[in-house]
Amino acid sequence: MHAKFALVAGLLTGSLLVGCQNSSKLEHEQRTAPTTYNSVTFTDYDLNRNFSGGIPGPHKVFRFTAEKHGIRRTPANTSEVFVVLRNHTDYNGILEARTQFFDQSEIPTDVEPRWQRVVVPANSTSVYLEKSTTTAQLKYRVEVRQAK
Amino acid sequence: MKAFKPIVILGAAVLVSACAPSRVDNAAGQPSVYQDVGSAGRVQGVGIESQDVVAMTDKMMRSLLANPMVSNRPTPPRVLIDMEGFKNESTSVINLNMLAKRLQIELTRAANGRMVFVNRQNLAAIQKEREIKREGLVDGGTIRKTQATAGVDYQMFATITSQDAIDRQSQMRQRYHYISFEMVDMELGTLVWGDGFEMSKATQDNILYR
Repeated sequence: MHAKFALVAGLLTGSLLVGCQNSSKLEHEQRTAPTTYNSVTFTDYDLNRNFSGGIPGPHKVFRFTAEKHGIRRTPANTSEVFVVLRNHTDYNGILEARTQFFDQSEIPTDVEPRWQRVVVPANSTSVYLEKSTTTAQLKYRVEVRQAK
Repeated sequence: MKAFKPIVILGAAVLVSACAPSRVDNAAGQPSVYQDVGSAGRVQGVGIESQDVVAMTDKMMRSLLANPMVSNRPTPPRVLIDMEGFKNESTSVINLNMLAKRLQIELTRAANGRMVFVNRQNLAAIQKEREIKREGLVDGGTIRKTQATAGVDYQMFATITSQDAIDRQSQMRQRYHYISFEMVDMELGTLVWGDGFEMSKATQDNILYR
């Protein structure tokens, strides 16, 4: 009886440890992923996270996702980035997003990015819009986090 | 010997009472810390805070520069932004000059010659300088001479409004703010650009803004 119990306890502890290692390894990968351009990044991992291992449970956390994003010109020839954010939960979500613009040589340009609030109703979508101040052709990187 | 005993007790009491006030609270206090001006700080209420000022002025600056009537003219328009055009009709305490100055400075940096900003706050100093140049007390400078100081094509007007609600039982309070910004053609009197910033905040803490 004692031997069986010890075996089960040992197995459970082992699987937990392996799970934790896997999840932290993948989290490390996500945290150190290379910077990409014309992209949307969730800097708050509680909102959107991928992990293929870990304690039995969801392999993906995606409370919020970026359904679509892109860049277009305004009538004054500046650029405007749009991100369609989708809320997969049953609760209204308040997010903050900011955009860093880069020129074609991938050098940061334009004014300092600032956080803007976006309210995404439960099980719905909202659009985050951000305009550049320059008329040059730009690349962008949008960061999204939970509003505090 | 019996008479000596009260003296000893009294002496000890005096010693103890003398020692007591010299104790200083030497515990480490809460050190002041720098905070990100664009994010919510440690003290939060329902009023307009630094992150709101930053987000609001940033949004207006970008919106204005995307308007071709203002920012894409062959001759850059002369724009006036100062607190004279800003009104606070809300229950929040806010320094209007801070709002106007931040918007003007950020726009000046970003517009990069697409607009020319007129300074009226220092008009007395400008007039005094013009007078002493014309009196010959100083030379004419290196740039140019003009008949008068710059007239304004467009002026920025802003109004802060709010609506409060308080739950008497829980003392929970909420405040909705709407801040409207308008750019007015100062010759024709028409509106060439307009945008707004709104927010609603709720809290139970009683925060005092100064």
